[in-house]
This record gives sequence, structure tokens and C-alpha cells, in this order.
Amino acid sequence: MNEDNRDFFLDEARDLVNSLETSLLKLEKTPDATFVIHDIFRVLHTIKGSGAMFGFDAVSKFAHQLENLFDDIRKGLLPVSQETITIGLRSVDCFTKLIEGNESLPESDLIIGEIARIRRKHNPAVPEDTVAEKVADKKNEYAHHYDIAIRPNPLALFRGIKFEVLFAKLDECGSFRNIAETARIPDVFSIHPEEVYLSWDIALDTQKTRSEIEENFVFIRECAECEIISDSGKKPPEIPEQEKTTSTAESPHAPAPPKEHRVDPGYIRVKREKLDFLVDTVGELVILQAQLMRESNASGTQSFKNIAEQLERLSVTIRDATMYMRMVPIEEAFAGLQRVVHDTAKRLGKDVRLDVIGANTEIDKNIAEALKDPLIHLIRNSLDHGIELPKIRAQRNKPETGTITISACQIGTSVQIVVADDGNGLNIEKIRARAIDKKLISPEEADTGKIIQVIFEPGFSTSEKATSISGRGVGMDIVRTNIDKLQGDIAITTESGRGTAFTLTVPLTLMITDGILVSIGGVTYVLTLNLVQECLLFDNCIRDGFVQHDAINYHGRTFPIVDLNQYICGTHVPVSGDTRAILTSIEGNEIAIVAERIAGKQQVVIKPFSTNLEQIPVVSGATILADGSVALILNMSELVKRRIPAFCDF
Amino acid sequence: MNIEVTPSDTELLVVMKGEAHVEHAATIAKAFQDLANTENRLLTFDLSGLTEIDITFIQLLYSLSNTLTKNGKHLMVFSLPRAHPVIRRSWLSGIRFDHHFTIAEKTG
Repeated sequence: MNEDNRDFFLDEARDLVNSLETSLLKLEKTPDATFVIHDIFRVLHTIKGSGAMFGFDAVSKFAHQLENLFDDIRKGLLPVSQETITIGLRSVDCFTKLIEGNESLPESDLIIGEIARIRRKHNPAVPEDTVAEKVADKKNEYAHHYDIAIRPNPLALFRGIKFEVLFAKLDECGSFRNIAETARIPDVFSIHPEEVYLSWDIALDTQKTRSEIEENFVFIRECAECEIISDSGKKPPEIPEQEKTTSTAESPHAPAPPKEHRVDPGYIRVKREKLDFLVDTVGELVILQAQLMRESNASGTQSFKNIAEQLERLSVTIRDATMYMRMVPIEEAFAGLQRVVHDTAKRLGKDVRLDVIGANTEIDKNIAEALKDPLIHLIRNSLDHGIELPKIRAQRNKPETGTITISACQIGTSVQIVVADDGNGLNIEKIRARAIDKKLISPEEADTGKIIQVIFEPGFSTSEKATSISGRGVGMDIVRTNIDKLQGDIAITTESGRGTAFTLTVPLTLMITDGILVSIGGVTYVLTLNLVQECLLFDNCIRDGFVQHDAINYHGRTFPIVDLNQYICGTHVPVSGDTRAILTSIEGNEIAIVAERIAGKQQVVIKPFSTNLEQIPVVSGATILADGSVALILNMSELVKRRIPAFCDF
Repeated sequence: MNIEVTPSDTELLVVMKGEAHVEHAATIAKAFQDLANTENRLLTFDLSGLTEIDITFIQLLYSLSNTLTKNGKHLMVFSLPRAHPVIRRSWLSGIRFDHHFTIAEKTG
């Protein structure tokens, strides 16, 4: 099997296992929902088929056993119970390991044994050897007859396709008769041994529906035309025993049957590296386009300017279309959270519901993935420290079932995700005491916002002892570190006895962003625009008395001044009529970044650094400006965190 | 995969063992071309030692059989039980051995 096929299967299988988990959790809440049972059965059937097709025999075998269990359930032989849900969820975990390792595990054998035991409990007819199929007895009960034509691409085998496995799957569906067309097989001196010369006509009598049969074709469709060319509820006359001959009268070159039954999935899978390469190339195009515009404006030639403008419109369209390709629903980042809530709540003896709002909000695929860990930590924290035990909630006149809500929405060029619970709320006094104890804040600190921020400090926890769920002071540190890497922001609101909400704000994409070009010591740097609140003339701030010592007091808010010249060049910013104060708020800290002058605003293509340069935390990447020069992109979160000394002599 | 060829006066006995699938298809094709070029008029195949086959093997065997027939030669296959992987796989793949090849009963 080549790597492409393996990756294709692995991608598909991971999605299917995620979907299996979601359906099992749904079924736990609504055991009578037959459509969910059918969904689960279909997913298992697909995993089984594709596993076998791509040589993942351990996965296929395991899926087969679980499929049997859900076949019993859908036939009404077995009820949906906590036992079946639990074994289903354990199987999800086992699938994950099997898919990555592709080897039988003691755990999978154990689960297979338990599945057999559960099935036998309700249906003594189930044999001890559950691997045995029982299709033979069904021969005369078939409701459907299908004539299926399979016309392979001659190079199908190079893609790792195993037609024999497909035939074996169809054979399992009922009464299967296959006739190979052999006319195209050349003599032994002309044959290309790895090409496919055969094509097949199959007659199948089965209980399976058309869509169930078509599921078997999913993994060979790109290498073969597979069509159900007739579909009748009645069994057709028996096909004569004598096989179709290899005569040219039934040439394989005859026109193929109409394709009206073929299902177009409406999408194609593309490897991420290919998409990254496209995005990178489009980035180069955008940079070149900016340079071209600059040259055309300088030339003063109208026809040159017209062409440059048309090209700009076209490149903007291509850029937007390419960016859009990377966008995925944010629910990808939410995958697995229902399970985290289910399992953790159970272990803690709590009853918790997870509500998801805005799961279709779109975000860059890489950001969606980077959000997974922070979200898991926030949820676990809410479960452990936020939501109370049912008994306590009842005493507080709250519903015994706690609720965690994750909501997502797009705001401008950012996505905002709020993780809120209706639990205890943060214990500010306890946090304050521990923070003073750890010398993270001074005993005089009274700003609640600043006190709360210490929960993101590495090793900070108010728990007396660490559990397997939280309390080591690691989780919230991971949350902040990951959000900082995304050039994002976290804000916390909390109310004692009512709950806590964490608001994460992250950019839509990390590939292209709007930036402010600032001049520091004569060199141009980029600040990302999504975190900028306002830009003021520093002279005016001084004139109007906003600048007081080392901060700007503006509309009742205090923005401590961060002097970038001091940090980068070692000298204070020279104040002139061009000097600007850029007001920003990051993780609850409001600051005013003072820069010599603003050199412009530009959409910049972010080029990440190589591993070595990643060690410079205040710089998050680089970009090429319209004049062809390279500019560093400053990481504003890091600037705030490092508490760069402010200029105090205004 | 292993192919052993034992010549006698008029025929060749070809014994195949192991897995005969796409990974070995080129090797098998070369061996079959050599067999098609021999002077022997009858080739008898013992496939009982094959543990796995795929459609590439079925195509090659079919191709060899046709090529031999065109040149006035003949291919036979020793009978195998229905449950044998060669028979089972061929049947699933739409090729019935007893329809496409001359089946010989193994004696002695």
C-alpha cells in the first residue's frame, strides 16, 4: 500500500471514529433514536470495509464485531443500555489505537469477548465464535436484486486497490455471482503484469439497501467505475450456469451504461502540504503584486497602471479563494469535547451538559487544530473547579445538571470563542492569597483583572493536591501559551456562585493579516491590526494631558506605555509630530505602544520562522513589504508579558 | 513466492508456492514468458502451495493459457479443493477455474 492510500484511509478513519463517538454520546441521551443507531451501524460498516480494503485487518475485524452488536440493536434483539454505550465508547478508544498501530491489541480482544457475551445474554443463538458469518441461511429472504458493473482503471492496482476485497464484501451481503470479462487480457508477451485487464458484471441478491451496497464502492470509486445498473425488488431469473464467454461481441469497449446513479460526494480530499504550498505561492503573488503596483504608480504610464490594477483585482480574488479553502467549521476544534465532558463528569460524580453554539463558524484549519488543547484544558478546569456536585447545586437552588457552553462567532477578522460554565465562579480571594504567597503579585494589588490573570502563570493552582484531571497548574499555562502563539487573546469574566467565562479571540487565519507598519530606530516592523484598539498622535496626548508619568489615561482607562525604541534600540523614542501611541488590550492588560511613526497599513503575508528563529519570542514571523524589504512581525502578547520598561519622562 | 519447474520428456511440471500477488506480478510474468518459449507442448501447474493470489495472477495464468493455445500448446492445472485460496479468490473474482482451464486430477 502506498503512503497516499494509507494517509487517505487514516484521515477517513479518524473522521469516522470521531463521528462514531459523537453518535454514541447522542444515543446515550436518546436511546430510542433509531436514526442514530443506523448512523452508528453505517459508520462501523464503512470502517470495516475500508479497513479491509486498505489492509488494516485488525481494524476491520474489530469493527466487524462491534457492527454485529449494533446490528442486533437495530434489529431489536438487544436494547440500548449503559453497558452497550460503555462498550461502544471503549471501542472508540480502541479504534484510535488500532488505526495508528494497525495491530491487534489485548484490549481489542477483551472487548470482542465482551461484545460476544452481551450479544449472547440477549440472544442465545449467537455462537461463541462470533467471527462466523450467518449469511448462508438468508439465501431465500433477499428483498433486493442488483446488477452491478465494475469497470476498473487499468492502473488501479498502483493505487493499492484490492478488488478481491470488494468482492468478498459483496459476497458477505447475500447471494453473489460475479462474471469476469476477459477479452482484454493480452498474450503473455504483451501483458503489463500490474495492470487490470478484467472488468466485472455482478448479480447480487441481498437484504441490503442500495446505499448500503454503494458504501462498499467508496474506496475504489477513484480507480473504477462502479455502477448499480439495475435495481429491482424482485429476484431475477437465475443466470445460466455457463459463464459469459470472452467473445468480442461483448467487447469491454462498448459504451458504458449511463451514470445517473453515481453519487458525487461534492468534494475532493487534498493533502495539507499541497494546500500549504498553494497558500505560500499565493502569498508570493500578493507580495509581487504590491511591488508591481508600486512600480506602476511610479512609472506614470496609464496603460501600465491599468494592467497592474486588473492584476491586483485578480490576485485578491485568488488570495481570498485560497484562504477560503483552508477554512473549516470550528466544530473540528470541538471534536472530542463531548467525550471529555462525559468521561470527566462521570469520574467526578457530576452531572454536566455541554452546549455548543456556532459550530459552523469557519476558521483556518491550523488554528482549529491549535485550539483543541486549550479548549480541553478549559473544559476540564470547568468540570473540576467550576461545576459543583449535584447535591451542592441543589442546595444553591441551581439545576442539578451543570452546563458548560461553548459558543463561537466571527467578529471582523477574528473569531471569538467563549467557554462559559454556570458553576462556582473563581475564588478571587483564594487566588489572591496563593498569588501573594507565590510572590506573583504584591500584597497591595487590588485590581481583580490582574489577580485573575495569575491563573495562567506556570505552576499556579489553588488546589491543595493535584488530581488526574487538574491541579498541577499546567493546563491554564498551556491555554495561554497556545493562544499567544496564535496571536490571540484571552479574557476572563467571573461571578461568585454564578460561573466563569473564558473569551478566546483568535485571528481567522495566520497566513495573511492586516498589519500596521511602525518605524522603530529607522527600521520598519509590523504589528498585527486585529489587536489594535486605537491609534493616537502622541503629541496630542501630551498636549491634552493624557500622558501621566508612564501611562496614558484615556477615557477613564489607564494604558501603561511600552517604549519599543527602548526595547529594540536601547534609546527612548524621539518624540515628534509623527510619534504615535497604539492602544491595545491583550489578555486583560491594556497598553500603549509608542512608536516613532506609522509607516502605513498593509495586508501582510506571514512567513513563519525556521525552528532556530522560533526561539525569539517577541518576533512571531516576517513578511516582505511592497518595496521588497523584509520586516519582522512583533508578537504583541510577548511584548506585554515581558513588561518592557516604559519611558517615564514625558 | 517460489516457482519450481520440473521438465520431463513432453511436459513441464510447474509448482508454485507462497503468495502470488501484485508485488510478485513482474517476476511471475517473466517466468511465464520463459515457460511460453519452451519446446514442451504441455504445462501442468500445481498451485496447491499458493497461499494467496490476486487478480494479477489470475490474468497472467489466463494470458499464458491463451498464448500456449495459440501456439498449439496446452496448459493444465491440478485439481484443488473448493475452499483452497486459489479457487476461492478466482471464484470471487469472476473466474471459474473449471471453465477457463483444463483441470487434471493429481495421481500418485
